[in-house]
Amino acid sequence: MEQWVLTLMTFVPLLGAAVITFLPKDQHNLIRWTAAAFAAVPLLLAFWVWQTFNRAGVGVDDLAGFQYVVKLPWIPAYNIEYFIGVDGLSAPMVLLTALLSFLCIFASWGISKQLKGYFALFLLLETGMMGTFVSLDFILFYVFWEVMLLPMYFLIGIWGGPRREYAAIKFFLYTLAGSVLMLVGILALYFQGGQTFSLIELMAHARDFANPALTIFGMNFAKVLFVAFFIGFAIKVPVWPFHTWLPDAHVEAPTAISVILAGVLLKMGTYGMMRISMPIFPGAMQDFAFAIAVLGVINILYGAYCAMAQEDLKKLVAYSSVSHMGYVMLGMAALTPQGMTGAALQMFNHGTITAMMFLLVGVVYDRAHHRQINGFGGLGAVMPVYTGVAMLAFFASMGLPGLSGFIAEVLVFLGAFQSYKWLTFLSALGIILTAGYLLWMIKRVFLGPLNEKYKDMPEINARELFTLVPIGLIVIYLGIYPIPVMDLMDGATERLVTLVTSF
Amino acid sequence: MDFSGLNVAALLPELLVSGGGLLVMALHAAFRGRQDRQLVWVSLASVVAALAFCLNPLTVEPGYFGSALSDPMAFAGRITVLAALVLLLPGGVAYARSRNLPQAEYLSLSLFAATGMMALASAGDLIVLFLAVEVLSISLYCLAGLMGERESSRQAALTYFLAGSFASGFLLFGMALLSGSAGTLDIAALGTGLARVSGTGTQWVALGGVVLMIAGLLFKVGAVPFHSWVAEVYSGSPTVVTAFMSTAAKAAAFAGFGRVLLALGSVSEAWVPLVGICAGATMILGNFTALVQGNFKRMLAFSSVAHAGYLLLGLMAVGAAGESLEAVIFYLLPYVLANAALFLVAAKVSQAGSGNYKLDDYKGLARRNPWLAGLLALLLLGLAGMPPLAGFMGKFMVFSAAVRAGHTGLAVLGILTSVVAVFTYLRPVVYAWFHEPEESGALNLDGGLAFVVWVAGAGLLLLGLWPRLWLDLCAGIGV
Amino acid sequence: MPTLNHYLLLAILLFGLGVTGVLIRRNALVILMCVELMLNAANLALVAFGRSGGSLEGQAFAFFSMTVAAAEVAVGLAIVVLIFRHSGSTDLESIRLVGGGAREEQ
Repeated sequence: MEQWVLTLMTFVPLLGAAVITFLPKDQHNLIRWTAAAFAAVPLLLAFWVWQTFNRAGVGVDDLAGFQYVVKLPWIPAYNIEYFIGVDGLSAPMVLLTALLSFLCIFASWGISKQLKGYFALFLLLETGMMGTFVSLDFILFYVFWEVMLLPMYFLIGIWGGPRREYAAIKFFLYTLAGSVLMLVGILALYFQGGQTFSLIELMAHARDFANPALTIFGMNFAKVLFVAFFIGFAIKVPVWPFHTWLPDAHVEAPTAISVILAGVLLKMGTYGMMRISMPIFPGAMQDFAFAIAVLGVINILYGAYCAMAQEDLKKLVAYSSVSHMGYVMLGMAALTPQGMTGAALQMFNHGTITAMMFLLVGVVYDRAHHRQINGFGGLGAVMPVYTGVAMLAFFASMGLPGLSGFIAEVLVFLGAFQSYKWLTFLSALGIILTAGYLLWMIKRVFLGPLNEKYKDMPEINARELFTLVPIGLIVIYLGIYPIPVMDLMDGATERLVTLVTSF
Repeated sequence: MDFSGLNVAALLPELLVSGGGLLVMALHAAFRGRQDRQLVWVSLASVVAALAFCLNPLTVEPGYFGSALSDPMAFAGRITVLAALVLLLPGGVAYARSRNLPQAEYLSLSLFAATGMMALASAGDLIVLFLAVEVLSISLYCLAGLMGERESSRQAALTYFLAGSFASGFLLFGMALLSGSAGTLDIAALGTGLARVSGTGTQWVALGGVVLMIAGLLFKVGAVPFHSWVAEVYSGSPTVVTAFMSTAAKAAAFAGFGRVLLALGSVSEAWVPLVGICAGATMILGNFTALVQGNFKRMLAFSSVAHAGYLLLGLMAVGAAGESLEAVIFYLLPYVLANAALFLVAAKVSQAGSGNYKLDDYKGLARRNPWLAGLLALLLLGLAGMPPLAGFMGKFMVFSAAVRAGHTGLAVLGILTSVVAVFTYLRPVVYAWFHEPEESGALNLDGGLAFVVWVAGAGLLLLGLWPRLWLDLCAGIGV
Repeated sequence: MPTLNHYLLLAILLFGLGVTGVLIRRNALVILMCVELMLNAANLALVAFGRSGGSLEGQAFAFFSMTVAAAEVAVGLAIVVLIFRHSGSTDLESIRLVGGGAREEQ
């Protein structure tokens, strides 16, 4: 029975979305609490998975290491299966998704326009995200990947800021362009890899794909497909130069949606690289590792540099995401156990830290109705509790020891230094830049003379604290003792590195 | 003479539907038009009976000495046509009534056209193929001119007639050359007949026939470079007729096209490049022209050209592997469901708005009728091929057939142009959901249209989540 | 003694004549006649093949196609008459001019 836990986690939100469409339109609290209840179920199940997860299992290309596996035929004519399961790569992501989705329901309490539609789409989005992380069949993965796209598009397009239409379409087309490239790749793999869409079986065909005699469009098969998949995932991360949709989407999206976008959706890009690109094309990964590391460093520096120039608080946080995802890329490309674990851990930690930052921006935006960094000043005096929580988030983002961001970044640097000394050195500059833009922002917003306009700004309320405090506790706890999450992923990341390096 | 090969039951669906058409005419005359409101039930009854037969066939033997086939392809093609009728007849009658069109003529001509379409899907020899094409074409010429009071409808009828009969000329001459040199009228035997004359001078006559036939069929399906009639005919014809042409007629034409190409697999090197070039050009031109339309009906018209491109891509793959035909036939049903419902929605929204199918009519539709706006989004995205809707499975199958046949480049082109298509289809969705309405007041659907929209939407979702429902019926096509 | 090839050549010539006519003439009635020419070229080819191959299939096909052509002409002429009643012309150019820009709506 218990293998159905992942299926439940994926489809309970969908059920919730269906239920919500039939609730009466004017019962706002009923709709909100229904959404919260349906989002709570996956969270509880995710905790249970986290508790019962067998840390000794390895996963990646070894089916025995996957847990809660369900494998049923879906479209036998094409060998497409309902094939799901979790391993060390996906389990932390599933936990993160469930946690952030649940908290974001509460962060969306202030939404007043078309409540039913909002929460129904939000829960549909959760189904898409969960499904993407647990899928082990390529077509199933693709379907969930696309299912996620539409609710996101509507959530930005209907509930977003003034330029929401532009931002929504830009987000949609960028991501779609990436994912259709993936579809061609999936088909090519299917016909070269013994007519299967099972990711595990495709990994077993890695040697066939790497055969240098195999070509597509006159070029090396594995390399072309690796690049096609890489672009598809890179758009989601987003890797420079595909990042331009991200600031627009973040600025226009409502707070909770920004949290999900930065906290979960960006991770899908790097998750896809780990789950799909690396084990299926280990040879090509070796060839392109340096290029990926370079792109990672560009992301780190360019993102931080752009963040420094931002006047809009939310844009600053958005660019800081670009920068922090660069660490994930760098750690991954190092192809060392520390680097890979650091990358996986950074995915989880950045998910929590950036979620806090977006929630914090949402708090002041709800009060001041603008996000201009220079428009505030001395908020520390009027909102001490808020400022305290904010400091925690920003310092964690800076990578202060004792908070969760630190461990992941150290691991990434340790891992990367073994492979690329100069690049690691360069990327360390990113830390200085990060500290620069964050401290400068803190000075302008929280310190200095009080802006008279905001002398009566109300303090952060209990509901807002409820969304922030659990994440804050996780950030502190994992900063001191990261093992509970690290031991989930350790086996898998090591296996992944061996898979690529021993190829 | 032995009559056991006659097997009339093989043609039962065609007989039921054409009988329904005749009955409608007779009842119309007998009651002097006073009971026309009830005729739609007679028509639907004959359609549903035929559909029931196709789902539970009494016979799987060919009829009329092999002229009318009862293979999976015949049943799948007929089901697609009948599904279109089930959706279009109720909506079409409401449309005809609201615009004072003759209902009895609309119904009987639709049923006669459908007879031709079904016969086309089950044609076993070239004579039946030609007769079927003509039965459907001639009925559609009349239907296009049904709104004879209007300049646009007359114009559409004339253009459609001239283009259609020109294409018939190509088709018939191609058939004459091909069947004459292959020495048989039996479609399935054309391949062996051609193999017999390969290397002789007759081979060139046969290949000329193949090219002419393909040209005629490309004309009928509205593919580039023979698409010039599409815009005028589709936008000028009464909308329910346009819906019929772009769904059932196109589906039947592709079924017939597929049968012919399947038989010509042995000379695939002669026609694969030809069909491939047309497929690529059709995908590009159809999608980009649809993108710039400010008129919903024209946008749907050009998007149906684009879909012809994807279907041709699937047909092209038939040259390498006959099973690819299954992908083409699978693709047709979701396409037919979505398109039929969208044309009817277009007629309704336009009538409540500007009256000339402006995209602006969709502004703020979500405020005026959220369910309709939601279903509009569902149908458009289904047409665009977004998972988990059935349109995705269709595209997936067609592209995978193309990749399997080695046409990866064209598959990439197809996938890239389908991104353009998504952008096209999103525009009405953006208008409906992200814009404020220009007119206030709810936009309510009548029962018939609501039925159509819900059935089509549910069908797209169901076939997307559980494609086996339709895939099992398509299994065995082309092998 | 004319052989199959002679008949085929004649059929191809007739067909080409028909196609050319459709493409260059602008009068709906003339176009209709040219289409008839194309169909009859096909009939000629069918009968010639049937005769030389010794089977009756070609002849049978020709009968069907003649019937179809008659039906097609009946409908076609009806459409042309309908147009003529409204615009007083069967010339495609002038029909189109009358149509103007109002060909969108229904």
